[in-house]
Amino acid sequence: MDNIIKVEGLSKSYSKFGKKKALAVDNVSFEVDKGEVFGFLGPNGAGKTTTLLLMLGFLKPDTGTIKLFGKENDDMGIRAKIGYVPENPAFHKFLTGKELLNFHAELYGIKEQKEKIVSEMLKKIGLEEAKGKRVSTYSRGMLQRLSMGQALLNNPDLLFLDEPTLGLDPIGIVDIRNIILEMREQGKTIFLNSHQLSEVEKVCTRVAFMKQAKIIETYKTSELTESLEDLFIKIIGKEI
Amino acid sequence: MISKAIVKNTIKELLRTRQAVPIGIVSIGVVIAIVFIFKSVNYELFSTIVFLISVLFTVGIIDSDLADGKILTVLSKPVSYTQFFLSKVLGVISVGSIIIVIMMLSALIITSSAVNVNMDIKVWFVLPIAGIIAHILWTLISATLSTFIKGYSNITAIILFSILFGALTVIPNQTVHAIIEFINNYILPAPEACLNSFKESRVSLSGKLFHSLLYIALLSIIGPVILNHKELGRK
Repeated sequence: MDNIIKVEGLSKSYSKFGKKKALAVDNVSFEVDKGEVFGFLGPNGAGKTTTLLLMLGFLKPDTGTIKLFGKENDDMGIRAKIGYVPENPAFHKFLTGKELLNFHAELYGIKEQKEKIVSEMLKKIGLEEAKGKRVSTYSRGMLQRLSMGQALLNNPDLLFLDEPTLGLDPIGIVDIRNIILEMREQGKTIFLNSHQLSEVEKVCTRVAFMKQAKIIETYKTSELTESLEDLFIKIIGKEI
Repeated sequence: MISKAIVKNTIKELLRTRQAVPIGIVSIGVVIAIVFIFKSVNYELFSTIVFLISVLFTVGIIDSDLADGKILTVLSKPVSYTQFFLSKVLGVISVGSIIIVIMMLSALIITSSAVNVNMDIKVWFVLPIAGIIAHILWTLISATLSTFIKGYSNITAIILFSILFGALTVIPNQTVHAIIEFINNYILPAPEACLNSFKESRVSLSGKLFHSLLYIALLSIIGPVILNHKELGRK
């Protein structure tokens, strides 16, 4: 199978006033194949978001290599094929929902059919009625939907999701789940950071457990003999 | 190299978030200052005042995208940090320049009628142009500093400005001359008029400040080249 993500020997430590703090990511290696929905699990502070930011090129690793679609992750060409939903969505509040999606569509270089793509996306993420309202008036759940929308405008082949259901009501959670499942059916690759184990279990094809900056176990969800929650407690333990 | 979408968005941001309002308030101070200044036309002090206005105007807009993480979703698209930086700066400069020209010309009209001074026709062109140049330079300084200093804000800018101002008051003229001569000879040739003003020791405090900032700004243009080393999204 083709590797869409290939991470080898990745390490990252943060330093303050020249002093190095503990490693945030310690010699992490993994691969994600085309069409996989890869769940990245672990307690708070395990290094999941740092790993994701390293993959997106927002942070520079101390050591290791990251390849997306077989190319270095700082290659601008691959950005057109990816989507990213951050953990804490922050957008230009002076724009309306529709204007914000238009702006992000332009960043992707979408010119033809921009109106149609944005209009369909507003429907897909359930913000059709609120499209004319300023982002500053949006609730946390609406921002999360908008965040999902900006990441899907280019119909990405690889989607990075960092806690995409945070702050969503049950209907919102189901909507996001359906979007992920739809993309899975289309053979897209998804990297999912989440604490919502029940959701991860429903959508992921494979999961990795991260603890204290290292990946300690990887499982195919189809081969699990117990619930992900039980497995999480067993692997991560109580001494988090 | 320039992202049209970011330039357009920045202009929209400046207009919709009414960031021109504080500029308007400060401009009242400028008008009052000009009334006093014009008795002995002091272009340097005038430029210094424009710097102060530009500080308030530009720092916030460049900094806000970096501070709250809005930049992350932008840079996950096919947009480099350099592209983001230059486009943002261009957006700020285009709106800022228009405001400064309007402000300067209004100030000149009010001043000329208030103090009843016969002004050289050149003044009508020189001052708005000086304002725009000062604004562009300061926008570049602000943008570069916002990039390198975490949490850089209007307050930081004013503190830095005060430190620089304070430092200039204690630096002897000879030292300033030596620095300028060194930069002129080995790094960047200075305009002759600028060098002459130093040599003649007629340099006011604000003049030193203006020239120092001019040099810092010119050197800061190399900022975007190394900006890709900045780490984003760090908690």
